[in-house]
Amino acid sequence: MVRRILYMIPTLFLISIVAFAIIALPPGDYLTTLIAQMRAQGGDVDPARIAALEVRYGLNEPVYAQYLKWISSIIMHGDFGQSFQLNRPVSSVLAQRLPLTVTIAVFTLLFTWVVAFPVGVYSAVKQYTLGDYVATTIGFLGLAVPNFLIALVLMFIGYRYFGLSVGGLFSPEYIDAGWNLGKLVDMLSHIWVPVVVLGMAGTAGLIRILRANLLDELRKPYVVAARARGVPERRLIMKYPLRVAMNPFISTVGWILPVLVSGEVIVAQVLSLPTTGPVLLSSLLSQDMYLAGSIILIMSVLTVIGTLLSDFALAWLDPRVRLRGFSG
Amino acid sequence: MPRRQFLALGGSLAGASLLGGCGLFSMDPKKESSGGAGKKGLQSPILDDRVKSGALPPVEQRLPTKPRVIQPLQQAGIYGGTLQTGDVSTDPSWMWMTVTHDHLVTWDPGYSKIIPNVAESFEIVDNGKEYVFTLREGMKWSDGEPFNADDLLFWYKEILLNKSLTPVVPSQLKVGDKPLTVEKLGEYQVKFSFPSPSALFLEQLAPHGPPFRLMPRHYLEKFHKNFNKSLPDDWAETFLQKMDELENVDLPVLSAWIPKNPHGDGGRQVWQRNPFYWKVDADGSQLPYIDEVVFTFLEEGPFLLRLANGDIDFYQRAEITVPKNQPVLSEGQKAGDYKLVKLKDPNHNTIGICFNLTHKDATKRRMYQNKDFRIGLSHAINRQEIINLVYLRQGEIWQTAPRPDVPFYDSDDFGKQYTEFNLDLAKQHLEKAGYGKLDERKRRLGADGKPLVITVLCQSRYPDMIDAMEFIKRTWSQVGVELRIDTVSSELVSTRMDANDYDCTLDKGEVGYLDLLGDPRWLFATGGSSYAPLWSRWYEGGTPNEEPPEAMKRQMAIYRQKVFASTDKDVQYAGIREIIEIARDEFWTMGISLPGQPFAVVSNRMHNVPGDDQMWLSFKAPYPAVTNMTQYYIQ
Repeated sequence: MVRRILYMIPTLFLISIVAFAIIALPPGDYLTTLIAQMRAQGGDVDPARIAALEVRYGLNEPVYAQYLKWISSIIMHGDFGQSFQLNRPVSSVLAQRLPLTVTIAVFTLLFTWVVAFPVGVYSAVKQYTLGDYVATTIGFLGLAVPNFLIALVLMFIGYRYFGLSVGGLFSPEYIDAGWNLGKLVDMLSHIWVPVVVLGMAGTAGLIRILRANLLDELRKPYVVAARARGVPERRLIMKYPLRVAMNPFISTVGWILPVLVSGEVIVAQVLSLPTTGPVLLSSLLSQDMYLAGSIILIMSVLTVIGTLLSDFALAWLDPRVRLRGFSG
Repeated sequence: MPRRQFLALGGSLAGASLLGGCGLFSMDPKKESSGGAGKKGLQSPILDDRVKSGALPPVEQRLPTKPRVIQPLQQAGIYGGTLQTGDVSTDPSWMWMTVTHDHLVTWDPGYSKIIPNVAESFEIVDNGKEYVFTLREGMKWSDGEPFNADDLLFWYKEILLNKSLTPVVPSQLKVGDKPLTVEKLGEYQVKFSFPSPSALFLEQLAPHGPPFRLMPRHYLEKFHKNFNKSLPDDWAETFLQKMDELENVDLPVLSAWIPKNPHGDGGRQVWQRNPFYWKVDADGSQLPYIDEVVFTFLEEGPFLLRLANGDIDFYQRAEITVPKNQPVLSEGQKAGDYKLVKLKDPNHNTIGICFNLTHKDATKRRMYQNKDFRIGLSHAINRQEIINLVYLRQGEIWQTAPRPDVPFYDSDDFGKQYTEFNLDLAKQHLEKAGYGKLDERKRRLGADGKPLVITVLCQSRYPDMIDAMEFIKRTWSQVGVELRIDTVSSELVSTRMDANDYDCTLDKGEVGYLDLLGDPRWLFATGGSSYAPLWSRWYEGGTPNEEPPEAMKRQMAIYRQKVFASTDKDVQYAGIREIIEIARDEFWTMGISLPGQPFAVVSNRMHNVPGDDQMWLSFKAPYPAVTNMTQYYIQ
């Protein structure tokens, strides 16, 4: 276990290098964006000003120097650097946006499970019934329709028929208010849109996987034997086949966070959610190196940790994994 | 169907919460001040308690001896309320143009002349060699500390002349290589002197993001190494953050509203009234009338829906309020209880087509520099078709000439020349330019014997231009010239332009009204123009550069001698007129059409907002700020 955790360090280090390099790859840098923006606003693109900005942002240094400056202050001081675009520390940008991002991710995970689990079991046990077909059809639709399209449609419906003030997770009157029941209810009334949108595709996938795995298990001799012995149907399914079929649920938990965070970018952009997604997109567009690098780094850390946790959970759920893991 | 049930549940939950908001969970802290009834008073009622408790001095002590008096547009307003507005993403320009706009001088609401603002008066000495500003006695920063000449001196000595804070002096603040000097003449009087006349200095102080900023000495001294030796060596970075009025909510300011939370929070920013604001209405009541301004940052889609829903009180920016969105916004007027107010557009063109006149390939350079070649291509554009199909029949055929309403140029000949769509005429001009040979596929051959191909860089954020180029591609191919459309991000366009590595690029026809006096980029190659990077650098002193042709050198000389060095409007106008005549004869760039009618969305509860055709959609004169937003009120 300790060894597993130690392996993570070089992995993360490599990820951070790759992330930073990729962000630096496209031609130009933050200044080019700024100049383009100033041009677009009819501003003067004064060579003097450009020179001043270059010095200020340290953009005339080579990429590796910028990377070293960034990574060393993260390791030494936990300082993620300064966002060029927002002119404030990256850490404060993230501190503000990560909690809601995680909230949405957790809600989405719960939604996915709450829906996928019973539907998957039902459509496996009642294979080729009307219910199975209906569930499967809806599942495929969820998988096939792009997330942002669902987001747009739901947003329009919310605006047109419910008079909801679209965009964001709170109604204007609650944004500044302290947390209490009213604010919680207000958040729930808004959060279901992104949760449903983001959960849709994942749910559909999990339903299919659970259904297929459970069908495999249900035909195995031990199930047939138990049924012959008169074990009640419900207990029979819950006890072993389901546990085995749940393997994919657990083993993909680690991926769910990054998938949500990255899949969330477009949806959050469309819905104007105060999460990390839109910040990531705009920081990439404007080549705001430290901000983009930090978000990618943090997402990678979360993925690595998530994978670790899901490995542990899997070992607990399915002892066979543990045996193979340690003998190899 | 659990999912469907969940949707229904979500919907009913949403409904329940909306109902709940009315009473059950009532916790809304906002109290709309009633106003209207009884006497108006000299200050906003929300300040009464603080004055009574002694936390604030009484209003007469907070105002300067001679506050700036703003005549309300229709009638004296009432205090209170929250102005809801917003912005697409977190681009701060809309803030620069609304709540933070208080510089020494400003444009008058009609965009005709510069008038004093923070300065009580100004005096121009020696044709713009010296400027003397008289400040308002007893004026205060938003924290109650006095504002005077020392603050301007602090900016000059400790910020502008400090190499760690300002590595290079902005070009507006120098003539040639020599920066201006700032002297204190008295507690409330400051003199700016240039080495030689800089006649457009006031125009450069008036727009948003001016080169010169009013900064509180008493607050910033604490973060400056010269005053606080205990600061670390990298103090400059912190200092620059402390100077940021959008991020640092503790920074004392002179504007009517003060931010309550940092801009970088991202979701929205709330601005609250400055109790020390130094403007009053005609009755002597302290402005602003509106207590609070809220900016919500949204993407285009949600923002448009919010506008159509009537959730926004005031908005005018080219991201949203353009002809394309007009049908949606017109339809929502009744339900959303707002109206669309017509604006004037200072832009002279929807698309300026800029051939690279200093192309690094000598053959291509000769081709683009050939006026007949450009005239030929101009005749081969079906502008009316583009106006009809791309711009929804809005606008008028126009070259990249000054707008018809500029006060210093009243003839149509520049705007309308070579705009007739006539393929035969086009072919004649191309032949005259020396491109008479065609290959078997009717493609026109260049001097090197190869078919003519022009690649145009289109910025992906202007989809209308890409559409229009498709039409031009078709008509140009009919005269044997192939157009290739290269859609790229605006950053890449900038990079390619800096490298002088492009055939042709497109630009919005900005600065076509009075603003072209201070920024003549479309008349000859200068900063911001995209048709001759090497000539532009010759003029500005950058490298690499190349000497422009005689005609353009004459334009540059006239500009320096007459426009830049004389504060006499008649001399300036005569000079710019000459420059325009040369630009017409030389025909450096071509355009498509005057832009259609832009508009602002104004809620019906807003008052004292100028009506149709009173405001410009301008960056150089930041509307609506110059119409004195402080006298708007909500009822």
